[in-house]
Amino acid sequence: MKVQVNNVSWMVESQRIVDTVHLEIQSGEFVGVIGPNGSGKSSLLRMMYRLYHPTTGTIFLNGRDIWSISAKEVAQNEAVLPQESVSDFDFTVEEIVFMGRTPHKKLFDIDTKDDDEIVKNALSRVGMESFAQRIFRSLSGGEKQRVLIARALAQQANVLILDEPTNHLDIRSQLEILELLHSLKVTIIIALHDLNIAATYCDRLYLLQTGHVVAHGQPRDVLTPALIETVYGVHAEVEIRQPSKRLHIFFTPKRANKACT
Amino acid sequence: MPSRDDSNPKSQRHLRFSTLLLVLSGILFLSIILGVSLGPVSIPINIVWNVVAYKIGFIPAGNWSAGVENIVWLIRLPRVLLAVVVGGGLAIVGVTLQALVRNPLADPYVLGISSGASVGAVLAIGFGVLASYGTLAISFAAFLGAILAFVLVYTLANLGKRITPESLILAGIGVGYIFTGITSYITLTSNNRQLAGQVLAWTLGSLARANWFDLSLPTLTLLAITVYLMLQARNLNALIVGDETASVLGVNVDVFRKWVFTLVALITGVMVAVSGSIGFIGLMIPHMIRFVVGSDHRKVLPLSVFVGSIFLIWADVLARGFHSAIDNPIELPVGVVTSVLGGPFFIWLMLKNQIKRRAENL
Repeated sequence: MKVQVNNVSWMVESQRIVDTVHLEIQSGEFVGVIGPNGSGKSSLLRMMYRLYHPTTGTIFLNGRDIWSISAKEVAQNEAVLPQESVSDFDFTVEEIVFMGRTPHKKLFDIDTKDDDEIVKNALSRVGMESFAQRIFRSLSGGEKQRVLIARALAQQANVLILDEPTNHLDIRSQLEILELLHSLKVTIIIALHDLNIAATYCDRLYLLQTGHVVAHGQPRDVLTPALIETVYGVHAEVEIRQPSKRLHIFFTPKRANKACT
Repeated sequence: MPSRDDSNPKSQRHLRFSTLLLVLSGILFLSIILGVSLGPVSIPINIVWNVVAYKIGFIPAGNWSAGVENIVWLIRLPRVLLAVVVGGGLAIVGVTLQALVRNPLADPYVLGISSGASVGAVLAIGFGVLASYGTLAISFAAFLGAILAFVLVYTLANLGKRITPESLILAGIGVGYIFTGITSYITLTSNNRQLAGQVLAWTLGSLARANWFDLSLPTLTLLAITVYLMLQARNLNALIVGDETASVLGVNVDVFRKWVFTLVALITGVMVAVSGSIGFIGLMIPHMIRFVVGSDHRKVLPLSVFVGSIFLIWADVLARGFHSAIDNPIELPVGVVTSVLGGPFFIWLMLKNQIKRRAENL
């Protein structure tokens, strides 16, 4: 399932939040969208999952304009973990995951044995099968994200879009969520804040600044000290660790830096 | 070895839900029979049974008086059935509105619809507006008031071209205050000194005016809307989690909210027109049900209808009982009973639920 964002802009009261962005994501890729707060990551993702209508430009899902197909059909192909928190009403974990079946149901359809199986599988893939009857609201942050990933799996979509799913999670939970996502065989488009995590897990990155894509490509090409300095305004050193060849980014305080030179 | 279904917790919960539904149907049926039997003139249950069977055409006339026959068939049965329809209707409206504005404090009256109905009613009671409609004048005027309020709320909430939970609640409260002010002004400046009492009694709700003719429209409305909402239960589930969640699950949130709000306003208008604004049911019954079965609308919607019906039958039985017990010239408005009885019951349920939750979290 290919996702194509074609010269898309999004304006709010003559202010360009997203400015002529172009991206192309191939089937099976793990793509990170990074950039500082207010750089337009969430707005861009929201257009990609058909919540916001682009002011100009078009978003294609497998070659079809997502606004030419119904919300339901988009939901059959794209599953989303939005930033929105779940409301005060109590649902069990299982009921939350069952909601993933919504886009596949017609007016008179009831839940079938197949749905039961799909939900059970989704829960076991995220390691939450023993939580099925727990109240969703009572779970920890990491557990909640796992359940929402299970809901996305139950949706059986080929593309999974996540808007900062590791916010407010402790480091272990963050890594577990990313490992879990990495093990899924779907296209992943994910907004991330932690550049080291982005460097570790993403095949490709898009770096946003004030609504523009300022760089894209493999992590080692995007996460350079110069670009990090320009976009985030911080000093960084980038090291390639041996023998893993993994990128490691250190942030150095400006004051300390000056003292050394 | 246990069979697969026995070990599946889901099938147990389904069983529990269907058992609950079955038990409630039984209680509802018994409540209807008892509700007809109890009152200032108490009528033995077997007579109630026989009169109804005779009227439907199952058995020949028996040796009961015409008075008893009239009380059962023309007064009590329509009244009890109206309680069933209004109680169920208010409860399902409460469930739906709470999902629609994602606020557990929403009730059928938060959206200003009953305030609009009150203006219509006060005009009909105080100034004989629509008097040509005879006994239906108050209901009809109240319904028109409700529709006017709905149109205003809808238009105001939709000014941003999108109805959000916030815009809906704020528009509803604003319009509600305006209409409440108008009702108070008309009542206080009127030369008719009894108007205030009559308006208050109407506002608190009564099922005393029930008759077979008045029953048909509310019944049809309730049936149609219950079926429709049941078919939309999945979408309501998604919506109550969040607008964005609903949207990414394929629900067309704007259109869905507008359409369901319109239906809910319509059924509220119909219910208020035939019974006044009976409180408590729309706000609290949904919570009671959620305490027991959670928030899945496929369970909450039907169970609420049953419990709302049963609750209002008994509240009305008590209102009638109070009337005869203290020889009061004015019948106690049923809304007084629902609030005074329902409040403590709700608090008890809430405490029980909190204790249960605390135990689960330990």
